[in-house]
Amino acid sequence: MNDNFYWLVVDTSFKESLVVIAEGENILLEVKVIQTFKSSENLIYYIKYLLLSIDMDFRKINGIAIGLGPGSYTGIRIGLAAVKGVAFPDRIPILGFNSFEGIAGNGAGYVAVPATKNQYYLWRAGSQECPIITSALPDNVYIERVGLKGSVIVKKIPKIIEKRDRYISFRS
Amino acid sequence: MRFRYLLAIESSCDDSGIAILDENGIVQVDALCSFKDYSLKLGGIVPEIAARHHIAIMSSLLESVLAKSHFSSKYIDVIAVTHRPGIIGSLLVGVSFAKGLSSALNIPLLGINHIEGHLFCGYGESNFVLPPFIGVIVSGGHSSIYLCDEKYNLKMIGDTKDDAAGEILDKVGRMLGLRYPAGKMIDYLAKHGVENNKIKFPNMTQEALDYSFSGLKTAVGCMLDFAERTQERFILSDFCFEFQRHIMREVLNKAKIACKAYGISKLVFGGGVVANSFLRQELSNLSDLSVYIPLLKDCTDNAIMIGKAAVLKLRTGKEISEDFFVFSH
Repeated sequence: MNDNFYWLVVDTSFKESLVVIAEGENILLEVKVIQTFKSSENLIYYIKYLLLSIDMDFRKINGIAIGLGPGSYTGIRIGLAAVKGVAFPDRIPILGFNSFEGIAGNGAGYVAVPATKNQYYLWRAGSQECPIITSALPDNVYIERVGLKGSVIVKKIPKIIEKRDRYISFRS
Repeated sequence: MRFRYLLAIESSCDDSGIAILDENGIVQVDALCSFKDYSLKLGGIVPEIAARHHIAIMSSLLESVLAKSHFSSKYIDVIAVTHRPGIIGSLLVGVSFAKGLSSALNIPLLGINHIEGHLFCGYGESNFVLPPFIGVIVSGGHSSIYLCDEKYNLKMIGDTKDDAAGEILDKVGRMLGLRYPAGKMIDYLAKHGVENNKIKFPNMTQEALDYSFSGLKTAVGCMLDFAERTQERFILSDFCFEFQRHIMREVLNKAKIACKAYGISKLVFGGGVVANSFLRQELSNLSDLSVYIPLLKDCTDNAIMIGKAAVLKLRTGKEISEDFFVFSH
């Protein structure tokens, strides 16, 4: 990917929304927002804030990537509608990606996201299968972070889920 | 605020609308995409499906509007979007799209109340009704009465305590075995019906300005149950005639009471139920009041009315906030 190709990456599928500005494969800036009541509606302000921080405007963006879930219906709708609006004037191409793949990046292992009733959506990174709902996570899986406020990364995965890889895998 | 062209976006229910108006409120181009086909299949509006359709259609609808008008999006100086009241999922799509678009074009965005759209939409090309007036909204989602003061501020003076008028028409229509949207069918059947003294509904009119239609719905249910048990037969068109007359007179009575209570002789109607031919006839027969009703094609939700309300607000210099959220009420 060219280094001068600017990406706007948005994923509002989970409780933790994120907005990333990347140049080629380098993440320039990112913001994570724990979604509270009405925070998704402020998405566009976070995007503006990021762009302003690096002295950019919407016209410099060459491509937009948006997480299409699985995840919160309302969150996805808000994210998708907002980026469609952003993309419209300059006909910026929009690329949708599986949000689970966004979390897994190039890594191998499992991605788990909290569902209701102490259950998880569990997805094996890189597989073509749909996520399954389970309350029993595999024993050899290390849960990096559990909480209602964010996606949970269940790692068997070594330390590969660095920000950089996390958002770049879908771009190729 | 000066501007050349205003882009209006409406997505409060199941109709996606986009329009471009000039600074005088004259419509340059508009487009409306209704999902009535789906609603017909499903027997009503499904919020999730409506929201998905808004997302799917919004960009191409805007594309078609711009193509029709030979405008570029760069000509637009301000955007107005419905932000309340309505189905929350649908509103979120329209508002998020508008926020994205206004940010990319770096132009102001105005949140417009859907009710204001119905009442301030003007009658004729760009003529607005001069306040003060009593505004009545009767649709599938609302049955409310508003007092509009000299400065175009709306104050709700009456609301429905339970169901809206259009909702009752649909629900009773379903009891009668009619397809959604039943309001249209009831109107059609009622044209072929005649007065029938055997069909009687409970009297609803009280001095208060609030509507309440749920008792009427229960009464119709009981009436139909009783008729089934006793093998009594009604002529459907007569039933529709009586039912429609009863509900529309109730709508009208409250409006008249409001006018009398506030000493105002201007009455503005808006909303989908105003398309009902009986109500339009009754309204045109009111000689002591100046009545303003929208054209038949403008009764349904559309972006033109949102644009006109925005033009009016900008013209009157009302304080308009760009920082707004969506609300279902």
